[in-house]
Amino acid sequence: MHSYSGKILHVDLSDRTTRVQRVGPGFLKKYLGGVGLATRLVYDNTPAGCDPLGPDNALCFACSAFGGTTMPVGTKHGVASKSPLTGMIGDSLSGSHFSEMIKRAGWDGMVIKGQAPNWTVLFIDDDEVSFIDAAPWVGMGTSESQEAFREHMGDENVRISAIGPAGEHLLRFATIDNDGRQVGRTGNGTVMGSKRLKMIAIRGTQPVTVAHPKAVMEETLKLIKVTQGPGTLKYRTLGTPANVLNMNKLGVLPTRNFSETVFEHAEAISGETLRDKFKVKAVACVGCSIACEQWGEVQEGKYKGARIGLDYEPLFALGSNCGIGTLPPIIALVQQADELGMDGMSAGVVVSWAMECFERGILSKEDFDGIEPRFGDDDAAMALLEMMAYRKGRMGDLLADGVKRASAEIGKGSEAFAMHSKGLELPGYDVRSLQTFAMGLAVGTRGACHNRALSYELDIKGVVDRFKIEPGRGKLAMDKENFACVLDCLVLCKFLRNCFDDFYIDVARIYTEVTGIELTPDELRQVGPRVWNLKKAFNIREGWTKEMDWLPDRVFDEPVPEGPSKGSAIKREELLMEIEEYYEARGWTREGLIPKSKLIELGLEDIADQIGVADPVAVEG
Amino acid sequence: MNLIVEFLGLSRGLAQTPEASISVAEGASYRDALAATAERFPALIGPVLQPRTYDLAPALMMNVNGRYAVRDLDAPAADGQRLIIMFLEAGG
Repeated sequence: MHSYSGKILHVDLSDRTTRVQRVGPGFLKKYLGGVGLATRLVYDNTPAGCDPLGPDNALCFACSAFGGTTMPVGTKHGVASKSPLTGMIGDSLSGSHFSEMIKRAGWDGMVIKGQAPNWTVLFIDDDEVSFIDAAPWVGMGTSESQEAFREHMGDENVRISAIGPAGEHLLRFATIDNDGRQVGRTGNGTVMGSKRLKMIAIRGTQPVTVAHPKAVMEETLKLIKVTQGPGTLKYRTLGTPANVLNMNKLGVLPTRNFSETVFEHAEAISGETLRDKFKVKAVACVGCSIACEQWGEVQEGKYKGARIGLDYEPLFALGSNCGIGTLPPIIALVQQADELGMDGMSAGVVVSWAMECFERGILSKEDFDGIEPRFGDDDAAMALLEMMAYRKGRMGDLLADGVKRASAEIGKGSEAFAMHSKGLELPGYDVRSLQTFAMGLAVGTRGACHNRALSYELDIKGVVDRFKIEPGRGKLAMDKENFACVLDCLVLCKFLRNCFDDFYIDVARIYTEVTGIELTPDELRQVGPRVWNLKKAFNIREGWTKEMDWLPDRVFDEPVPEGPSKGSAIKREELLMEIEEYYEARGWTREGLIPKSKLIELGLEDIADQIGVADPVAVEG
Repeated sequence: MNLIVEFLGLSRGLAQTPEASISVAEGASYRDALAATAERFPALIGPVLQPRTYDLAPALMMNVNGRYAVRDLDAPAADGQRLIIMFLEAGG
């Protein structure tokens, strides 16, 4: 076996013990790595019903099958735990030198449990594990703490994952930052904070071998050439911020807490403006030949010196969705969110909800300790980020729990415009006129996630009529989910998804050339539904009910007020029909439960008795 | 008839304008509109429009009036339509 080490490191922070779990090729090829392997590790190591912020929640890291090899766009890692934001599976991906260093240290994954008695740095030096007092770095921002610890170690090759003040104060959507990249969604940084784990530092000195070096090098060179070609030119030109104008033109750009879908200042915050007026460089993930991340720097004004890599999602969330119509404050807000260690997407949606509550008179200046958060007020947005990160005051403490909990506490109708599903704040696409994607967000296992659903492609590319819900969407959406899931398990960046002649044939071959493990295209194809069902099984175990597969009232009750999507809204009965059709396509029951036979069919026999129900009964008509 | 062609992202950079008005004959197709666009903005040929066929480059798409993606470039265009040349990003 190559690339993989066959070893998972288990760490218990409570008693500072470690052990090694051996895993074989049969196990690895079922889950591949990334989200698949991390989810399996969470399932096996987290007791049912555990407190997400308690010591029993397993924070699990899993490498990419291609990490540390020459294969481009594959040096990433997955992280998963029971989410403190949703109570469901919380899986996330990131890519940096940290991803590579886990493998160079000789590990395919890590399972971290327990709770350290004091703030700790977990230092993994190849096979050696030590626990370092983190006191000198507690309170520091994410990048600041990584730089300081590296300086302390005197070794640039020590790569680090760190939480910021938000994770330390248990903001429920805290991130884990590694080299300026984030394990962003669902609050894995919060879980890390609950364990009093400030940083994980790794130094790996071992080579990552591949089974067929000559073949892998040929595949590598071919892929590099493709990734430098026209298929990815769009990513290299503007990166994901190009979506601002795209979505605005289609009337799906979330604006002022998803109340509108066309932003009058879209040009000013667009990828085009970023490139022309603020761009300083494009940055690539480790081993990536695309380099999509566009870095902007503010050259003058009150945000002079602010500098960050901007992606579409935090840009929409802290931009149009908060009514902020120029790039300098958005660059500063995203930088602040990253440094505090909070998910910019969730943060932006929470801030926009707070702004709407204030403008509607549901919350007052006194509630916000003197701040008057109106749409477009970047000073207020900046202040709210800080209040949330440190849980300052009643409102900081409340908002730090995410928009679902905050709206449940405040009430007064604010739940209707608390834009989340299962507690995870919505991504940057107004679903009232993306009606296949609406269902994709509703049924998402980690909550509302565009990257897991991918079905916005069907709506936007015109594969379906995006303004309608029609029969047949369930299977289409499922196929998109399964494909996204395979990419998340390998791990391969989604920007590579159109770079293969035949994805399953090509990637199965490359996987075998890299690992030496025989994998057929059909076996690769099966990973998607297997891992998706595993995630769903975890959710069922943790108390999922059908009612959780739903969307906020705003998307049903408030038709889009203007623009190309004017008048669009989702009908509840149609969404329910679409969801049930999706369950059927998945082979689940009408209530969304997984039959035992389905779990066995997918190779999940070991959980079939625990999770599986009787097969659904066919109903005529 | 007159059409407005809007350029986003890569195509805007190449055309060096956010939009342009083009005239085509009555009954002209979307492909005819793209041919007229290519004639006026030759820098689009290659990265955005295929030579001779005027098919859009892979991953690019055309949307009409912000509502519908064009699935058939040979379908007839209508006077006054806004044709948006765009691509779909993911992730971030």
